Amino acid sequence: MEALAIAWRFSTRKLRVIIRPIQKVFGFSVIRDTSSQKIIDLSTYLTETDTKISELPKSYRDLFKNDSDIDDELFVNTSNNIHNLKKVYEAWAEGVSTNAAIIGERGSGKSTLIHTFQKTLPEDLNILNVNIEYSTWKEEQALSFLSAQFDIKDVKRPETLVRAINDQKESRVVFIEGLQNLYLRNINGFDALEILWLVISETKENIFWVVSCSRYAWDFLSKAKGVETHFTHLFYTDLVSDEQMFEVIMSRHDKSAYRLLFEPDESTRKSRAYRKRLHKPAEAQEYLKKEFFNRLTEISKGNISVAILLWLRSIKKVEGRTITILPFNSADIESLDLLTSEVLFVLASLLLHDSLRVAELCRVMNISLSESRVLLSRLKSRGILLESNGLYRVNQLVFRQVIRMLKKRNIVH
Amino acid sequence: MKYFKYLLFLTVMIVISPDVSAQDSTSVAEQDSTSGSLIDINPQISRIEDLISTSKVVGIIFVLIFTFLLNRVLVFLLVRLAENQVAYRLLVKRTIPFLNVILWSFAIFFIISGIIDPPIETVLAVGASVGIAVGFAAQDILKNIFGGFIIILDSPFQVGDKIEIDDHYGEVTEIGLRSTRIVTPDDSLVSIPNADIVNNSVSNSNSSALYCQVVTSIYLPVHTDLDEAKEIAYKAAISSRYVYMNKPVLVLVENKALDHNFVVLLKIKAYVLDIRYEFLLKSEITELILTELNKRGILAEEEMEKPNNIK
Repeated sequence: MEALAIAWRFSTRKLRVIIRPIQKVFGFSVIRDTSSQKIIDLSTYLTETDTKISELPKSYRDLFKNDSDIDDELFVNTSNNIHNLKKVYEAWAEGVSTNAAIIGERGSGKSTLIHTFQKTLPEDLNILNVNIEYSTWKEEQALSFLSAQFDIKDVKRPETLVRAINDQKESRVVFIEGLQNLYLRNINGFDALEILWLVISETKENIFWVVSCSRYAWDFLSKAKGVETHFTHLFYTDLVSDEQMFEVIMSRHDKSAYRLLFEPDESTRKSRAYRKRLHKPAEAQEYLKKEFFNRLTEISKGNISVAILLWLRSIKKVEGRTITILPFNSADIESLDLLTSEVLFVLASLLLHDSLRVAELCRVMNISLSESRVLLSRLKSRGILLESNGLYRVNQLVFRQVIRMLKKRNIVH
Repeated sequence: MKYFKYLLFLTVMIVISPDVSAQDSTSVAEQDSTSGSLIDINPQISRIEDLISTSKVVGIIFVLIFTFLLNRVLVFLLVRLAENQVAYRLLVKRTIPFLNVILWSFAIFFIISGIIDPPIETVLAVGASVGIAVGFAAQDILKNIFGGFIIILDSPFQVGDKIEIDDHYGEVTEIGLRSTRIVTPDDSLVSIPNADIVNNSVSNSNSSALYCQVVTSIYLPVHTDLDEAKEIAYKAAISSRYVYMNKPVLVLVENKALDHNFVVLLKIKAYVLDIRYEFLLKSEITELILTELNKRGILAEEEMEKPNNIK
């Protein structure tokens, strides 16, 4: 009788393992009675990330700081970008009107590339760093912002700005970071970009322009306004290979004095490949490390900041000089009940602009201010969005999942 | 599906009928005169009983119910799958008519060869009889059924496509054997006989792709600054969240005569990312353009009231 009960329990458990993925594909609620618990778990997981990371030793956290000004030895030169950028600069210095655009997902290392490249430039060169942090899409906003950067006063028209810049007769390198903030997907939201195109095309003899833009904004602007035609050379920072991603994490970790201990998750523990290595701990650790990085590179898909965040989030505990790593669960946002078509369009808008304020979202979506506020705050409360200084952006922990979901629904391409 | 049932019923009746009718014609004439003819009927009846016994009828009913339920379950699962996997929605949905035909064909084949199991002569006789009987009695139905087969095989459209036939425009929800059902923008379900579809021209907006072209028309006064109007129209189209950016947005200008006045017709051709947002895209583009034109005073009343009479 007992054997029968065991067999029954075993077979139902096995059956459940087979049926669950099928239920998911067909869109049936997997376990109806615990779905609310699942949502709470996901929200908690997403919102408590900062707290979890802040509990880690400061020296270790500092090594993984999301800072563009990192040590040269920690910089991973994707696709030999530094060398190629240098060649483009040298061509400009020799009188060829070149310029460059750096494209990549948020957190993929665009700013790091710019800062590292700056270090290679001659010290006496006049360099201007322009960081567009907030949405600047109106003509007058753009004129006043750009004229302030070039220290020019009383500019009312783009032509005046161009003339004033050319009158300065000074060779310089201008780095503009955050091109995605120079437009708004709105009928009147492209004026600032048009001013910048005019300024770039009229001043490229005296100025070597390097502009950085986030991947999805670039893709949109390329299809809508042919943005790539304004640049002679394009560089991509989010084409990091699996080996380079491993290097990014391990080069930082190796600078610490901590020892790594990988723990298996439930499915790995049951796997035959792991069990047969159990009697050789070193081999088992190597296997777990390989499995972990396979998963990390698959989810981060070339985005360094996502990989770093997931790495830090995977730290289970720090005991003495040992850091225990437990494989992370990729947050499954598709089963959330709040993903209406309206919400999907909000997420798509945020991807196209990197970050938006309430008032900007209502212009992009052509909805009222209150609707915009409700939509953003609902997503924030679930941990899908993060807010800082009134700017909303997609949580890096679900960044990849959001992109995958929007692509699946043909909203982002 | 129900026509298969009718066909099956007819088949069963005809399986019985050749012998019975042959017998009828002779036996009725001889009924009064020859009492021994009743003895001749008995073997015929026993043959009929052999062909259609109670157990066979129960078997047939069971197969029909099973096929019906299996069909319903599979269609339900496919629809769920299609709605959950948006990128493959149309691909999954287009398999449903094929599944219908295959399932019912198997069921009929199984009933005839596995349950009734008539001799080959009977099958041939039935085939001929069904041909004639159905040909005369159910010409229209047959036309529609053949039309259904042609639609499934020729595939001028699939389930999920947006099509226009005669005055009806809408999303195809079902390709049946007798008729095709479309849902119009007003949410009306229109059943169009398949024979009509085969004999008429059909316009397919998306040809099984998730996106389709949407043309928005805006009429403007003839003195409008066309460069400005075209720029507004283009920006309105690319600003809409429903627009599919992998396809180009085009703004075309036409000169039209409307109520004896010349007007400019602005045609904005953009693709929608999912055919379900077709009317939302059209509405949003129109709204954005008109709001901007009004804001810039291009549609001011005095401008509109300047008629340009055709001479």
